[in-house]
Amino acid sequence: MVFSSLLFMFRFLPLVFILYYVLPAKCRNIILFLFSLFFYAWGEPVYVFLMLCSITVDYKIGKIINKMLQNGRRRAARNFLLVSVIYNLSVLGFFKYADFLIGTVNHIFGLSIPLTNLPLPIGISFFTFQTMSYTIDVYRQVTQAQTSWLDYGTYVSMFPQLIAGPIVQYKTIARQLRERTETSDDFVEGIHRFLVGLGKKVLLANNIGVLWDTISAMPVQNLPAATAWLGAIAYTFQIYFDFSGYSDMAIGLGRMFGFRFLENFQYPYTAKSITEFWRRWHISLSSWFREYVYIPLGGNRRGTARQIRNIAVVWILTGIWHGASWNFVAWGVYYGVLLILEKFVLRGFLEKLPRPLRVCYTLFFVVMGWVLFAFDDLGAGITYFTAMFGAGGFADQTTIYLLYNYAVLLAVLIFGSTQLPKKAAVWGMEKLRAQSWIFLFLRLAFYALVFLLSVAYLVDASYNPFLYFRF
Amino acid sequence: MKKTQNYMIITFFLLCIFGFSAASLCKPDTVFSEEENRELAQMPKLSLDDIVSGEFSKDYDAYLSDQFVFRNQWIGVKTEAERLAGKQEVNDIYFAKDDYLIEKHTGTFTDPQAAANLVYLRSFVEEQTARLGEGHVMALIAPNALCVLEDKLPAFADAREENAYLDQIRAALPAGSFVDVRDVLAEHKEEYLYYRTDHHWTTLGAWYAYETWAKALQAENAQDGSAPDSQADGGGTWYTPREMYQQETLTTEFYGTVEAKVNCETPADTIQAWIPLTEVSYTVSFNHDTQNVKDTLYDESFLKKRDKYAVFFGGNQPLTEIRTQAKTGRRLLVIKDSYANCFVPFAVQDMEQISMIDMRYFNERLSEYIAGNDFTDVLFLYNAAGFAEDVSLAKLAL
Repeated sequence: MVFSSLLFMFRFLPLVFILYYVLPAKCRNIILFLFSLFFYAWGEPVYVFLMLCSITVDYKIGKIINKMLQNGRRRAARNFLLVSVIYNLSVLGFFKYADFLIGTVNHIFGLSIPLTNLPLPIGISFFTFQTMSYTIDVYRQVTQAQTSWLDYGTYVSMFPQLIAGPIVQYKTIARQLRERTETSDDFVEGIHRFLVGLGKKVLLANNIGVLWDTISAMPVQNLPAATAWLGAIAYTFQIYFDFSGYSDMAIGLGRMFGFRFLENFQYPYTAKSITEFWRRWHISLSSWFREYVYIPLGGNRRGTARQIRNIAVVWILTGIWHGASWNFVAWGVYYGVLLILEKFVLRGFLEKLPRPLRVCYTLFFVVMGWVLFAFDDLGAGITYFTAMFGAGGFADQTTIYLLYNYAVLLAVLIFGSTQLPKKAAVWGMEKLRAQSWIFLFLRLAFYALVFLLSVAYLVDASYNPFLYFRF
Repeated sequence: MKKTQNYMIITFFLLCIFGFSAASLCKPDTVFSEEENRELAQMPKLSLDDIVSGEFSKDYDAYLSDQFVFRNQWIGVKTEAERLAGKQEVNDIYFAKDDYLIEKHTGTFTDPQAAANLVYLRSFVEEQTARLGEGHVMALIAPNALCVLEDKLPAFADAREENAYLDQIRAALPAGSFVDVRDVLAEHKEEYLYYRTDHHWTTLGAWYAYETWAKALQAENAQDGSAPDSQADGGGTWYTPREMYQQETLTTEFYGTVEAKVNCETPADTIQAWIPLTEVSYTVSFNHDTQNVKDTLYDESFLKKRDKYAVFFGGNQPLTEIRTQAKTGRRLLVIKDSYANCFVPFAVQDMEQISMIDMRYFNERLSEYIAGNDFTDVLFLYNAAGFAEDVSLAKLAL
């Protein structure tokens, strides 16, 4: 199930609200747990058992590690941690990467080992990373082992963050699982985040996605450069508003049930360097890799050569995490190289440039990166690059047609990628401090507009794709 | 005061969520949508197999969307929002000049199906020509509004693909067997040739095409001496000319299929029937049903329904057989889609027998049907987009 659907908003959510808030407080976790299983099972009735299995394995291992550490058997605890990590990576490897590996082996050795052709369990990349963060942190004694299977299951399966993140680390919500208070402030903030996210996904991402689909379906050999760039920019906006909109909805829903998840996006397209971009984009993923891969490998504390190796490892893994195909590996390597260059070569030079130039520099490489990302077939991505650099002429009548059709939307997207909307809201609130009712009215009008338009677009759901099922 | 405001926002949000939930639960299900001209999804049956396979979830999602309260109004709201944002098209429909809504047919003409259908058509035309002789088998692939009304499209919109596809058909078919009506329609493009809200041509559009075909038939047949005779009164045409028809307005409140896709405020269309001043008598029967022989081409009950274009022959029938007293010695087979429905009434005046076959619904073997009838002429009549997309044309070879 996805949030941006009539089913979620008008069947699932009302039912959760009623049961969660009407039944006694001690039932809250079990309600969340059961509804989360239902949420997961809606599209994947069978794989829900895989998730239950992961929950049980890591819950048990967490308990065992804890007990061994208490008995001073650190070595044994470490072995159990290894079991947990191997289990999680095997599940992920089997369901997500088996066919990719088989395909590659077949290709290299000219074999024909049959593919498994299993569909990817939704959200597997997210929940395996979450369960790993748990056992690793228990081993590191950063967090207590969970003593209730139900609470742990609630953490792993919690529907707001189940299928597209953010990757919530266990330690950040360990306490909230036991004791949390749902306040009206939280609920209002939750509504705000949910509606903003809904609008970003349904009104902005889906619509600009139509432009990308239109352009990427055109024959690439005579695609003029201006159209190719328009397409790449459209995809750049689509992926940001889709993903960050989904994160907003997740964070908002979490708030409605008293959970506080960490932010996942911080205006990434205003970044002044690639390094900064990755501090603002999919923050929960980059923090995960930093905390559980980069730093354990030694980070930057063991000399430049080691640091470069560590960056390379992290970025190849980041690439492959996004999907099982070569373009994602290339995409990861691309960022690894850029980050290493920035860190060791370009840093001084970049800092002298004026701010707008630095933003342009960053966006240029980000847009090129998304082109690599967008085409599963690496060759098709490269052909698209040639179109961007003029292999199919500069522009034609369709370029102009598309430009003026999407001018308003593009303006909204540019505005929406910056901090301006937030600043405008804060400014308005200050101005209307004395007449807070007017501000309330404006706020409700904005919510109503976003809600009604989103429902209208969902009912006419000729187009409501979901980009993150493959992660 | 913060608390009061909080509760107002929360109340507003919960009212939205619960209000529409309750309304959509209470609304009785609709079986058929006249606007969209299709059956709406119904509550799927619960079965263990469907739940495990995920089929149930899929069906339920479709059911919820199809049956949602105020469905048509929501679609209208979306259309208005798109137009306000400066979009010249919604759901692949152009908002063209003079209140025309014109289908875009994105990708239709470059799809592999379009190329495959071209091959099916060529072998069908060649095979029938071998049987009936040159000039007796023709294909009239009507251009869509997109192609003829290009001037009305939004600035810089590109509609060249359809034209290119029609050129391909022309080149692929044996010389003289493609009836190209693009020029004659372009000549009259300021007239009311296409409905503004529907994907069909008007009776006037069909007339220009009919006249072009009838002339082609005359010219081609003149060579083998089997030309349909000119009328006895001398100098006239072999077919009933335009002056011999009286135009009758059937309705001025027609909203067609294209309008249904965008649900926006737009003026309605007018449907006309051309009634001959001196009508030959004829009988019409559908699908071998000899019990229900009719003496009219029109089913006026459809004028009270949404799908008013179905007033011609009551919509698409697998097989329509017409026998007339025209005494011209011409017996015509029409392989057709719905563009023929307002075209064939003209032929009724000029043919002794007409069989119309809609390959999409016709389940007999075509060759057997042809063998059992003594046709003198064959006309393959489709609209270009419908032809390019049709998935039943492999049956032409059966």
